[in-house]
Amino acid sequence: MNHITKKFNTAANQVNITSAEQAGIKARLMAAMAANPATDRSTQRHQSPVQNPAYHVQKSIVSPFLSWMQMSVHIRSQYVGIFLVTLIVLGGVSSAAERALPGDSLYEVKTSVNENIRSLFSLTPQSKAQLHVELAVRRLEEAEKLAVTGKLDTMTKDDVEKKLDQHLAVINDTILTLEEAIATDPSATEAIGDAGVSTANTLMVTEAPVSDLSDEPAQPIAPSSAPMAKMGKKMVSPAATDVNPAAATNDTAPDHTAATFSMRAEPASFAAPMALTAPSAEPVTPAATSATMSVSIAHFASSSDSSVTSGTTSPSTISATTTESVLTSALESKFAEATAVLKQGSAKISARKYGEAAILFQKAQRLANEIRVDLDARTASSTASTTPAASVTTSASSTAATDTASTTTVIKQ
Amino acid sequence: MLNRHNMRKDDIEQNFIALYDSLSAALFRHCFFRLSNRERALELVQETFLKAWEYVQSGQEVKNYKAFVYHIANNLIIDEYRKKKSTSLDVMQEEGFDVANNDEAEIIQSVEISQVKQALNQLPEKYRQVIVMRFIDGATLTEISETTGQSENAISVQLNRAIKMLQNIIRP
Repeated sequence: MNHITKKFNTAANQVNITSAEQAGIKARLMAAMAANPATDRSTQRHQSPVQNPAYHVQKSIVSPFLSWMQMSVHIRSQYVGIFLVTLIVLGGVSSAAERALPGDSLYEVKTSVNENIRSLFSLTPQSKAQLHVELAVRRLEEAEKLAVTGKLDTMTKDDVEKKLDQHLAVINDTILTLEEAIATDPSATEAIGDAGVSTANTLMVTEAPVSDLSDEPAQPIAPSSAPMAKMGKKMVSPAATDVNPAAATNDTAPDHTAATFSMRAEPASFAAPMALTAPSAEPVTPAATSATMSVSIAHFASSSDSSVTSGTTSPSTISATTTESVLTSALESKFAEATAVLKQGSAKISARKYGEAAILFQKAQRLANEIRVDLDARTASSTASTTPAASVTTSASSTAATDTASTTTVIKQ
Repeated sequence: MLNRHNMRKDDIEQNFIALYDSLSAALFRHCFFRLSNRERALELVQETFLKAWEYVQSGQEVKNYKAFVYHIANNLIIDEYRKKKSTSLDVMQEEGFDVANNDEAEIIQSVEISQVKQALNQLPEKYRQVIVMRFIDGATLTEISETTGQSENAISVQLNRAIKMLQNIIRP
């Protein structure tokens, strides 16, 4: 032990840094110290950060994205991952909800999330009304599907009806707003007329199918047709003098499915109201669907006639001719669609898929109704009798209706 | 030594230079026996004080400057060892034996120095550290413990084992 300490002491004493080496290091150290001087703590310590101007400078130039940029790539990718997963999950739920029906767990997501998001994007009253018309049709289609699959019970029915009422209320409010806008600014008439016509048409169309859905057609439709009728009445402005006598008939027969309501459907001449009568007083037979179809087509002739007479009293008819060609092509495409749907329905029947066939026929009927309403709108605004194109469409519609009648009878048998 | 409270900028710098003057010779010796290389030891002394200045200059509090400086040096030496380990056996042999031949100062060194260096070369690194601190720097157990961060007990055990190994290497 002693010899070790001795050896180490001797060795240690012999190893020394030379003064030149020491001075060399010292010079380099002092140069480094001059380049990087000490921060003066005696002054810095007693100054609050707020008083120190350097603090403000530093604060003001810090970018809000700096913390994000300073994160390690690993952590950043984690955040991005979480965000993407959330997005995918929400998107999946949302798109799955699109197919949900009343009674499904995702139905609420569909109606209160998806559709509310859509309504955020409809900024003008017109587009808002358009959207809610679309949604009302959607509610009816849901009821249709439920009825076909036999799932339309009181609960789901109430649900659909409640939602339908809400949509109708919104549409009604929007129309009232538009009317007010018209009162203050007559130049807005055209746009509002367009919105009005599509609203009216679509609602007319939606009336019939629900009545055919259930085994007892009168009951389920009664509550939902009530607001429609109400709405129709509301929509009648003081200028609407033309009241169809069929309305009275319908009032006396409350059990009948279709409601009668008056609405303005003429695009440009907003002041000229016209009465549209949905098929009323129909016998509730097994072949109700086809019967409704043919009756509605047959009815078309008379209602258009009456509309024509009321149209002749209408003072503003000028702009109708300008929209005529547009309307004709729209009608033709609609008719083509209806025919296609009928063909699909027939195919389903031959494939013995009667449920799907029934839906398709109902759709065809709806399209036929739409065509009828469009034609009504046109004839009402036109002083002349039905145009050749319209008559062609009408006869074609009748043929389509006959087709449906025969096929539906086949199903029932 | 360097009480930073209410200390002015110039004082801090002067005190740091004073610290260098008082510690550099001992630190150089320490590094020399740890690395067995005079040139590298000089570089390490400079590096240690530069690092210490970086820390002091930024306004950080230092309680024991001697322990602080030795702690930095120790870390740098450990880095040095890691670098050596990663090199090939040939390079290690070169540095272990041939470097002395390249260095004039090493050639003329005494028998004692070469004996001690050889003995230290055979010790594991952690024993080498405590032996150098104890017998070259003349540090107490408390000082060693402050520098290395280990307990005095652990240091004492390491010292005992290291001395036993040295006794086997260096015969009287």
